[in-house]
Amino acid sequence: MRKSELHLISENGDTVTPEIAGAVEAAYHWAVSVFPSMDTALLANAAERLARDMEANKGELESPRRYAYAAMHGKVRDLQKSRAANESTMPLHELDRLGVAAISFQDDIERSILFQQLRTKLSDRDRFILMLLTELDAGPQNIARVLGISTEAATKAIQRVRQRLAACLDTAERCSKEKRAEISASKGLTREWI
Amino acid sequence: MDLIRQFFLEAFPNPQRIDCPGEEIIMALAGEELPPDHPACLHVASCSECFAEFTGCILELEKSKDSNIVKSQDPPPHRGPNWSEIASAVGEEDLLSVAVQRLRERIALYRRRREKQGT
Repeated sequence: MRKSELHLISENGDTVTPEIAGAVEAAYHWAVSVFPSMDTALLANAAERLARDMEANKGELESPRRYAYAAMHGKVRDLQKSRAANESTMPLHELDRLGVAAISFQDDIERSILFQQLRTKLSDRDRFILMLLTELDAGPQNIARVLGISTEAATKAIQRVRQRLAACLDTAERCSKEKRAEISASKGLTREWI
Repeated sequence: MDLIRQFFLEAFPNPQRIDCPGEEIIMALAGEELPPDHPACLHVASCSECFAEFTGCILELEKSKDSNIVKSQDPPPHRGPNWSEIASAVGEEDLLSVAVQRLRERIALYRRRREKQGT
């Protein structure tokens, strides 16, 4: 994405300092890449507002880059919440027709259970291996080098992480089915709605 | 969005940035330049804010690598014009006469060398 897609100016209409511009552009590109389902126009608006605010308070910023990433992440969360809020204001039959409610409701339950499972079942080291596998496409040799262990030990460690991950996914799926059944019974909703 | 990535981004909020390493350390981790026993390695997988920065650093490094590859694909500088430059500089008829002239010069040069070697 080119730099010209963002119009980064201060409240007075002047161009923002290069450090702030670089930080906001990096954070914006990160948000576009990590949250592909978000509207890029909304993200661009958020980035431009962020640059304006940062320029107005540049004396108080310790690290523009760090601030930009944290703020952009916060803005994405706000956008996601407002989108969810918009969905919840729609009538149930309309959501049902669109297939939105069933999918997002089920996903929310399953995701929260999965995250809870991953937090408790994976150690710090397991999470680090998982991060290297998913973010850096690391193989056993890379992981062995980064962790300072043999390739054989790294291969076994990866295997263990995969097994734990699979167990967490199974548990999340099983628990979400149980919870869905509980919720539907408690709310008197039909299974078709879920 | 990738579920595992979402997990790292949501499950470990640390808005006060407690025990967070500096930006340059996160960049070094993204570039796989940190020693294995560096504490930042484990921290990034337990702090959503640092993980966000880490993924951003990977993106930035990938972009800079891509731009370097594009630069290295540029043809190296050369002293004389190559055939495509000659072709774009002159018309087809001129190009043919230039080519024939070069061929003649090479043949003459070759003959002179052979004559010298014979004597």
